[in-house]
Amino acid sequence: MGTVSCGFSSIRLWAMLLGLLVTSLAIAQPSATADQVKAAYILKFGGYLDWPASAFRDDEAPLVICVAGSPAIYEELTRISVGRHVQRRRVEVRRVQSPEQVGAAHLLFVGDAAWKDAASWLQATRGKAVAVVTDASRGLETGALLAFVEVENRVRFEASLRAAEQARVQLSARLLAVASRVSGATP
Amino acid sequence: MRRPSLSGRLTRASMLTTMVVLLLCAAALIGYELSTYRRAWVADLRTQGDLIAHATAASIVFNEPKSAAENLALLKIQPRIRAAAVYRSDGSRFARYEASGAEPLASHLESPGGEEVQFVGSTLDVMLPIRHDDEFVGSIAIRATHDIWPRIATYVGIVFAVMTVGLAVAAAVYRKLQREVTRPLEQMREVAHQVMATRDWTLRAPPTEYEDIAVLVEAFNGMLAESQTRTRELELEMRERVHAERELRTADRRKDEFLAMLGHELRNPLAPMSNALTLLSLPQSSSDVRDRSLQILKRQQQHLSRLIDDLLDVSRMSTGKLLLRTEQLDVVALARECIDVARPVADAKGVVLRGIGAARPQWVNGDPTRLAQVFSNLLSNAERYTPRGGCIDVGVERVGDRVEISISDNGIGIDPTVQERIFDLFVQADQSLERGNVGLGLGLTLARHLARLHGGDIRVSSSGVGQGACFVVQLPLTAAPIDEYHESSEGESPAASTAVVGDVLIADDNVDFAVSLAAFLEASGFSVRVVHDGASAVDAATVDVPAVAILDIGMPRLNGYDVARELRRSVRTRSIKLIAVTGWGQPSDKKMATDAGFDLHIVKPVDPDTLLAALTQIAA
Repeated sequence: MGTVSCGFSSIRLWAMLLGLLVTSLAIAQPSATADQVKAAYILKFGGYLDWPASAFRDDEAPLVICVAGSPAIYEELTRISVGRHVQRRRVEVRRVQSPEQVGAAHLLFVGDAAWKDAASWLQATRGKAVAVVTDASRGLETGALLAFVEVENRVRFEASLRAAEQARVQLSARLLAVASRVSGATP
Repeated sequence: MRRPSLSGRLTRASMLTTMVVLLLCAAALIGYELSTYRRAWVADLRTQGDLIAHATAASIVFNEPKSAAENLALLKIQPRIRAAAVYRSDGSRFARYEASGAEPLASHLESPGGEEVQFVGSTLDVMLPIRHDDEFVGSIAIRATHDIWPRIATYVGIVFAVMTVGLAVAAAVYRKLQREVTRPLEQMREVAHQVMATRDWTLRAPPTEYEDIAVLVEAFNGMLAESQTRTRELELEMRERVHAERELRTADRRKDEFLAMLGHELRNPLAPMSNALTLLSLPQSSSDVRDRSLQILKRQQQHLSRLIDDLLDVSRMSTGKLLLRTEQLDVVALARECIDVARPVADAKGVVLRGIGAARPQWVNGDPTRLAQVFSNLLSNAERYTPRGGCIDVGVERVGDRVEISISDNGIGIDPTVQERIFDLFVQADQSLERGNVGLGLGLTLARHLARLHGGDIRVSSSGVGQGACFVVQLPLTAAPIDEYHESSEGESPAASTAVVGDVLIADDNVDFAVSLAAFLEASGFSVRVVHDGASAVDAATVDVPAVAILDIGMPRLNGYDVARELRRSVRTRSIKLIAVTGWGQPSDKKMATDAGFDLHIVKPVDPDTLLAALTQIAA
């Protein structure tokens, strides 16, 4: 038992030391930017959303993510999505300038800069199974399905069940569990 | 120090076997249960871990430690789970959970991404990876205490309870079975105990149905039977030996008595003989006194001769050397002669001896001398035990192919209890009564033996003491001869033979015997020459050939046999009748005499009348 407890304590000691090291590293290097975090979140949202089968041409069809109004996020997404699969589908990232270009998108991110034209974006996606994401403030109230918010200097997100219902996109309960706010939910 | 019993051993062995089997079963069950339980438990924990991993994947992905902690907190419904933690992919702790009082898990993972299950003491550590769309996003670690030891304790308790009950049941069953199996052994042991205690060999162990024990029981009973038989035989033999020893002692005592009596009887005649000799040697004795002295000497000498003859006969009888020279003879005539011989004694004693009346001859195959001995013995016996005034009757009767000669008296009789024993050697009916009479107790023994040698027997009957006795001699009959019976032993008076026989030569180195015999023969009408050694005998016989030569055997210069051979060799002396007179009376001596050429062999002391009769017979 002596050796075991000794092992435990040594493990703990090492863990503490490592923790210290990581903290110091984090302090030394600038932490990931908000855009990088958002790009990573956008990519991962795909795993917790359920599109109707009709949204895809066939099993081989890629998951299409369109990005508007945020070149930084588009670039980041393009970078991190290389070789990644979401729901066993390739990920295709497209940059769109106007709502007409939304086309066959499954997930549409509209940056804060482009959200002033929110009605046209929403109009373009109406009737289609497209999850609209924005990082504009009051995003949910203006019609987005998922919206990034900044809480205590951390990037979080909110979800709208009503928007999801209209878009015929189902939100995973696990995603809802980690959302900072869920609107349209019966409390 | 009690030796262990077979049943005890069997019980112990069966109990031990049962216990070992039960323990092995229990150990196998517990082992199996343990591994199954462990596997199930690991699977259970892994499932829980998987569930949480699935639920917390989103929390890690979207960096929501709070929701992860909420998920982990759900584990509190499982009291066995003491602590849990979710780590990011870089190993740093993302969320944690501890049951009250439990230690938290490590704050950093050294090698994240692995999957492991580890038992340490009574704790089980499970670490599982958390994935999001095939991407490793973190790890979940769960620590639980397993309740496997109390479980084992419960099992052991159950096993012990079952074993106790099982052993009790087994003991009961074994005892019942064993009682059936060992009962025959117990019974045999009981019988063996009893046999050893009471020495009762007739006891037997009861038979049994078990084959191998039956063999044992049979062998045991067989040995008992054998012991019984042998013991009985031994006891019988012992009784016989004791009896034989008693007989031997009796015979020994009788022999001692006989020897004492023999000394007495042999010395008895010596006193009157020495008296008579003294009277004879006195010059002043009158002729009347001398005659009486001579009578005494003659009587005592005859008595002594008879005693010694009897003794010799008994000796021959006991060594089986008593032989018969049988011929066809009329037993009635023989009996008559014996009566005639015995009559003077009876007359002298005042006893009436009634002879056989008119009777037809009865032919038997027998030795005349020995048969005469039988009758003489019986007659003198009757005379001896019949007081003055009594009478003796002799009768002849033919019974089938046998003839019976009875000699009955009205004398002192014989006690019925000793009637058979009086034929035994040295036995006399009553020592005190016997004292007044003479005898050694040999006569009847000899008589019966002789009768039996002839194929006959002697039986006795007496109503008791004072009632008289009757002896019956029984002999087998034979066919009568064709030619007329010639009474060969009919005595001739010495005077009648005087002229018939001429010269007699006597050769004996005993001068007294030779001279006295010569005087007697001369008185009887013979012409006698006397020599005292063998060579002289041959010379005398050759010079003047005699009709008869009476030769002693043991002589100086030339013994009797050589003289006889010499005389037989010469043509001149070949026809001389040769008579050997010697103290050596064994059959072998007689045979040697016959071989040497003797016509007759006479044993000393010589009865003059017998010698005369022999001379007459030879001359004829």
